[in-house]
Amino acid sequence: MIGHHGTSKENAHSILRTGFLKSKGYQWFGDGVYFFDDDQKEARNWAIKVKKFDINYSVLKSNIEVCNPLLLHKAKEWEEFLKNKKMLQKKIDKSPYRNKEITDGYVVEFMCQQIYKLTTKPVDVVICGCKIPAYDWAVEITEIPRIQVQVCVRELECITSTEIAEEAS
Amino acid sequence: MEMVEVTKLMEEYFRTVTPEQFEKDLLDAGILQCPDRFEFEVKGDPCVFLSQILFNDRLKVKDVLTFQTIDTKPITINVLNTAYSPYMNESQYVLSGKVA
Repeated sequence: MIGHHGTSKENAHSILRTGFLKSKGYQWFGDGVYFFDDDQKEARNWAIKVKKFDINYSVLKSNIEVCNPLLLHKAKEWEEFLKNKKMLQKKIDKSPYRNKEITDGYVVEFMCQQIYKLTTKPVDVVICGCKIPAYDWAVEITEIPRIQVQVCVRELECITSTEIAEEAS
Repeated sequence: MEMVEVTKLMEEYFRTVTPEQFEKDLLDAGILQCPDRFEFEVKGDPCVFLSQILFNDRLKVKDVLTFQTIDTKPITINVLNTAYSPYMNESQYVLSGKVA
């Protein structure tokens, strides 16, 4: 599959030299490198409007080889994810950490780690659909939400090639 | 891997895991280090900001620590841990663009 990654020019050139580094901690759906599924425009929006790289933005295009994905972008899969989240929350509620609330990102991370421990086969990519806020002017003319498909690459070997798709001139 | 298969694996895991191992697994996944809430400092009209984040069903405002009407002073909004979204930055961007 093709993934687009929005970042700064400086980061993009560093990635081309030394490769991607995984984001860890408070992530949208687990630790990894985040891409938009074959969507250069969303990657550009991310770099400019969310990360505010503006005149310093860059969009990378990568080929991603997927072997063992965790797919969360369809209703059936999402319902299964909710079951897993409920089970984890219930287990936490019976532990000494009973007041701990968990984000979806931590649930995905927890699930991926357990899948690896139980099957010895790592989840290499997590794919998830995200509803994102419309721009204020768009709210006035449409009720259709903006949807993105995001790809979190957990195993960096899956990224087989990377090039610059576009950058600020 | 099919999510149905993942659920079966996880059911078995939750049924058999020891409390000690469960605590270790929570630590490994970063769950025990995760703070219970996030605070965002927002510049601009808090009413506009609140309406934007309440409109988004991923975000839940727990309480507003300091609330002021339109002026230049920042407010701090306390958001539930489950409400974390990288798009909070985008909301702030839109807000500051509107009230600047």
